[in-house]
Amino acid sequence: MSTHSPVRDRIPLVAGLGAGHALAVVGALALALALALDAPAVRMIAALAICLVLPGLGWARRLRLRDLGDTVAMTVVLSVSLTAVVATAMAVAGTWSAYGGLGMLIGIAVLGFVPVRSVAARTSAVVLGRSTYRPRRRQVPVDAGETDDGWTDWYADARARSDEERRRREAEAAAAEQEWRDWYAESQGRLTPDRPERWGTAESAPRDDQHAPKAGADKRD
Amino acid sequence: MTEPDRPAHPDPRAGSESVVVTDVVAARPSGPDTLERDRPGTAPTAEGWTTSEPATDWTWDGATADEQPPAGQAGDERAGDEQSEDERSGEPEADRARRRRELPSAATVLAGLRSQGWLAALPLLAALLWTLGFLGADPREMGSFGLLSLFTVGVVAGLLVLVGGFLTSLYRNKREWVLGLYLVTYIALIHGTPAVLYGTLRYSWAYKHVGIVDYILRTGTVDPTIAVGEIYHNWPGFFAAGALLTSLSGSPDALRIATWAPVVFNLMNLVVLRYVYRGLTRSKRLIWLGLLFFFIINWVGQDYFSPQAMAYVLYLACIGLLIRRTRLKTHLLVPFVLIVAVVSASHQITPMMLTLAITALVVLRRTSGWYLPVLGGVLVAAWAFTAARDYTVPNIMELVVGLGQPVSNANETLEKTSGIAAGSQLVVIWGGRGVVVLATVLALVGAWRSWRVRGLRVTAILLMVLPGMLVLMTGFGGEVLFRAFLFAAPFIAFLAAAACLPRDGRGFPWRNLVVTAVVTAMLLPGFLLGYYGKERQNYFTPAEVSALTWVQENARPGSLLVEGSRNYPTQFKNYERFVYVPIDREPEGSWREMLADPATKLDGWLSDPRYTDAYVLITRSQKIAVDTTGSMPIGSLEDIELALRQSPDFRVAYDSGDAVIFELANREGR
Repeated sequence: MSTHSPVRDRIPLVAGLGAGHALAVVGALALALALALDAPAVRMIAALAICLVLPGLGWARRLRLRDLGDTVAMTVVLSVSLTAVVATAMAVAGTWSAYGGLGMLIGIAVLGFVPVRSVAARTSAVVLGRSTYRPRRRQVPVDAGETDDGWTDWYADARARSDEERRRREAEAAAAEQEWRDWYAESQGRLTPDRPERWGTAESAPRDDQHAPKAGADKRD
Repeated sequence: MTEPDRPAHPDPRAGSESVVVTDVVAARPSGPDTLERDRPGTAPTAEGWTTSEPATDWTWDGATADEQPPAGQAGDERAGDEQSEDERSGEPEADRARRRRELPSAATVLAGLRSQGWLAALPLLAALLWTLGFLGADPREMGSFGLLSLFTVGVVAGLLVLVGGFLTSLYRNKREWVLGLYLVTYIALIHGTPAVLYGTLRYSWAYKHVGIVDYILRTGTVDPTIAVGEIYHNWPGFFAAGALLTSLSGSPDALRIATWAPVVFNLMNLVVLRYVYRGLTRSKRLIWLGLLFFFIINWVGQDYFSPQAMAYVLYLACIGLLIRRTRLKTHLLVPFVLIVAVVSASHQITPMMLTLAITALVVLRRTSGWYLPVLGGVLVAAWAFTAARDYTVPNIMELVVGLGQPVSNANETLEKTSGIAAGSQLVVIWGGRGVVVLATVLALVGAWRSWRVRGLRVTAILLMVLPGMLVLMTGFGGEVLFRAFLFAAPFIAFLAAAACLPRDGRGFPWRNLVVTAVVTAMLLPGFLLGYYGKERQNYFTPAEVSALTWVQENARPGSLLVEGSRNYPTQFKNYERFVYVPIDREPEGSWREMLADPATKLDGWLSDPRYTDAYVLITRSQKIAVDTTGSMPIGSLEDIELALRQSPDFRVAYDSGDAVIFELANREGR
């Protein structure tokens, strides 16, 4: 099912987002809300998830590690590092705020899921009224700013449109061929009124000498 | 008769331009640039869409050339006959990749569980046996072998079932999640048992770190010029992160978080070390056997609530990042800088080790990027000479003095254990050292076999040997040998595992299984001795904690706290308000005077008008530590306590049974 729509396409940030992003944002908000609960165990688990998993999840996905275990490892490492950076900055600057830190971690987490290149391309398309996308010829996917979500939707849509186009062209070609055949048959019938047989049967096949020039016909005396 | 107009010949080669394709290409959103190699199925051409054979290695994760261990490097192994069940099934790679991306259904999960058989259920049985074995155990009854003295048949059986099941699963080439389940269970049992059994946080240094977190929570900042614990305020990365986590969890302090820190840090070590090992080899058996060996040789115990535990995880991750790719692309430079920066702001010795490792890997061409050591050194120096300058500049001579003094630096560690009084503690110490020796010998065998068969595993050998250079640089307060072993342990474990597996890396014959089992059986007791052997003095009763909570909440700022030794739940609340004087760290002449007449000596100390209040604190765990380590004669603290109880100049301010706090009977009147 295509996820493209005129309205969606005109909102670059939204257009670049897929179900995965929505799930990540919802998950982050749910964890933040869990911190407000009066249940120590739930709050502890939510706090651990926010500090040890959430901030680095989107960024680890950008590394495009094939192995799930490797992605988990980098998720944890990046999350711990980002938590330490945010907290250290607050402590050293003397601007400690737990909720400020929470907001920064959630913001970093959400940014990790935003397909930056896709959003930038769509923004330019909306602003300039044209696409500025230029495909690269690199053989190896290395740009961490890209995600595969737009690609997925585009590919499915393009595949469907391509199939439709191919069928249309095949139908047109078949129709044109049939029309030509009909004309040819009809034309054969009109040119040879004493030969009611249509072209294409053994009995109506022209003899080899039927159209051959008579011997000496071209000689002038 | 004129010929009717002939329609255009239906030449399939002629036709309209592939407008749709052009538009489609133009409208394509940014996506992975894996066009020519990785795009499946149809592909746009100048003529329009054509159908081609689907690419067989299509995945959303793109090219994986860089994910492979670089050709020609150490550990350049492929799966060989170490094929997973997936690969043996003959399923196309594209389908396997698609299946990996999709979340499994419940039926799939159940089918997977059934397919792994009874081996997948053994960890549960092991956990049950272990738990039943500890039922009714009282940590107060720990003997001279620490938690080992509480081991029962059930506990031992559980451990044997767990380790035996793991080796059997490895032998039968079970799925990675099964092997992971064993190690997760192992970590939970070994490192989670003290948390459950004790009910309190173990190890006095963990309490000190909780105190730094408490300071940040109370004041919202750090003070690099503070008199007590200044080193923590100059490298506050871990403590700030701990404070943020504590705040978000709603806890008043970090005690509960710190109690479970060993489990969390070891789980992190598990996933990150697997990431590192996958950069050295793709042999599943080698990876997981290496992981098992790591967790049974790492008795050093730096996994408690501490900055070095966090820094260690990040150190491993950075090494994994470097050894997995021969060229550090731009988008991987960001994680590298982030990790090095956090390590630089969190600990002192880990950045030194990290910079050493980065430099060695680049110089020996294990990874490319001449700028990496420069960048790492700049980040480390930048923090040390800016945010931490208040500590670095006055103490830099201490570092310089230690340079090039390996014997002296090593002796600092060895001398710490030279005063051990009880014979059982010597067994504990030599148990740990035995593990180091045996594991290192195995690692050397593994390195030698690798050299003969597959070329040098230079990277793993390099990273195993490199931490020895720390001994050349610093004594690190008598801990440098432990830390050097800690940094070398992952690669010692890896090479030791290589020694137990076939040379060609193919299969796992029963002979190798027997060798592995024997090696594991030899290492495990030493690990248990090293890790659990000192738990008698690391365990603090709830009564001790309550006594310390009382004094930390009631004493006025600027108070003097004379402590029998540093081995007690110390400095975890309002820690900066006190001046701490441990009796067992006084010069020998001083504590001998103390033992001769404790009341008179302490009366003089507590009467000092510089302090607002003054207390003497003697706890159960302090007595155990003094008697065990031999820092003072056995029974010294009992004698001091008895003398103070009998002295009319002192009164008991708080007595919880396991801890007593004395104060002067009439301090204000003096």
